[in-house]
Amino acid sequence: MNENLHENLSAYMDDESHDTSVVDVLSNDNQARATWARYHLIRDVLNNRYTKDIDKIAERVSAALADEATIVTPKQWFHSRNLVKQVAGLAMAATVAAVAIIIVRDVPQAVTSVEQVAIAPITRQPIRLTAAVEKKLNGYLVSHNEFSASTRMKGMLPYSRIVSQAPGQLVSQDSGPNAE
Amino acid sequence: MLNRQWLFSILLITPVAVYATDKQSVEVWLQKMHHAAHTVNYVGKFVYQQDKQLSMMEIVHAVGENGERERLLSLDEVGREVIRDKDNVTCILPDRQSVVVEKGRPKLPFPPAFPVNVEHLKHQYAFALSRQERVAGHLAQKISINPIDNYRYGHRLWVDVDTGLLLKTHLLDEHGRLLEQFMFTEIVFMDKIPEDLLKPHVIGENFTWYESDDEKVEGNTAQTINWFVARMPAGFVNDMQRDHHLPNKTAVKHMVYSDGLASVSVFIEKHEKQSPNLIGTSRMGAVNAFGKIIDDHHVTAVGEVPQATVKMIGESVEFKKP
Repeated sequence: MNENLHENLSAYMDDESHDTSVVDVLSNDNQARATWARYHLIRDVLNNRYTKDIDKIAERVSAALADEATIVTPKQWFHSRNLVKQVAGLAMAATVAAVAIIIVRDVPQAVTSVEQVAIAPITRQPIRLTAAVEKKLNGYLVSHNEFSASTRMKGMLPYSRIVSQAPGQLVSQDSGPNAE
Repeated sequence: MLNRQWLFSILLITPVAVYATDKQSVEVWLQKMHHAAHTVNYVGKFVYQQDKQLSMMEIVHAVGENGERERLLSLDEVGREVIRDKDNVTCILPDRQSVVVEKGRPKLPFPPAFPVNVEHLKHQYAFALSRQERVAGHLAQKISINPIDNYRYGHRLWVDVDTGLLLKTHLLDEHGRLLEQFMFTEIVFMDKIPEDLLKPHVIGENFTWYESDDEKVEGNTAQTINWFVARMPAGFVNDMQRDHHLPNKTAVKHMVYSDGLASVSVFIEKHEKQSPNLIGTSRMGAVNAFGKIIDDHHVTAVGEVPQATVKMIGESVEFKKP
């Protein structure tokens, strides 16, 4: 799926876009629909929104899994060596569901706090860096990670920033020679 | 009356006593977490969120005779991955058809010594133990670390009570808003990690390899010796400096400044008009960068800190003429 669609789905989900073509895409594209369900699921898990309506959540998880099960490619959920099956004997999607439900039951009703639901808003219109500047900053970030206090404490987690980075995601707030 | 006095004394004493115990225990928990990060064998999956971007990742951590080996793989369509052993960090970027290898890893004893001095850090941060919560089916101790100024981030850490492994983190910006989080959704601890799980997924034959290393930089290195940072937030000290080669063979001076929890790297290289350089500020999730040109050199400050911090440090970099 292309980056644009990811962005559109995300914006639509956050009520930042009213582009109704997203609805058409969701109606016709299985993969888009699965991604949509997955985004909601992950976001809800992260925001601890599982304190109510356990049954409803379980239903939604099942629906998301049914959608995903028909279209996921091996690479998305299991890579070639089928890690999850080897290690845990569970499909990834099923694990997410199980974990989600475990979390629901373990999180006390009152635990959701402001810090867990507040996401810093993007207030500025980002300007994309050129690929060359982005590549250079990525190189610096790898060097930095190797010597930062955070890597010493958290191990490899800070590398998620490099691994998760979609092309053009690094943004600059100043227009200048680096803007494309 | 006597009772009331007693009660008053207890009220007066209790907060201090709790604080002292907390601080002590926080240190014990952080030590446990640090030790586990380097010594536990596990395979897991976690969710990573920055702004509105959500990613699913797979992580493998193995400890053996040759030290630590790790592998991080994004479970998206692109499938970027990073493999780390005691010598190299290898980043495989299928979307760029390239492999970037960083060879200059710090040479540390194994397992590395605990780097945090909580006594020293309490001038910059307030530490507290919160309640225990469940993460990925494991009971975890929550630790809160709040900065006292706007030059560093706040942390929430959830540490596995059994193993000490970090299971969930929140990074909070200078206004206390959530910037970034990691959360394991699944984790399996193992005695030994199968070799197969540490191998890279895809390296195409047509991929371009870029290697950086720490070999002695050729040419006049004296030029880079006299760079210094004139201003930095309270508690930051110089942690490390080295001469390094970027993958394109450019010589770069790398200096690290840290308060013990937050770190900023300063990179200085000869300015070439054609070379791609950041001028101004850039942000990627919790990481901020600032770049400028001074005395025919390009300076970049990068770190997991607020923008004001990279800006203050970057802007104050000067060349001290001998």
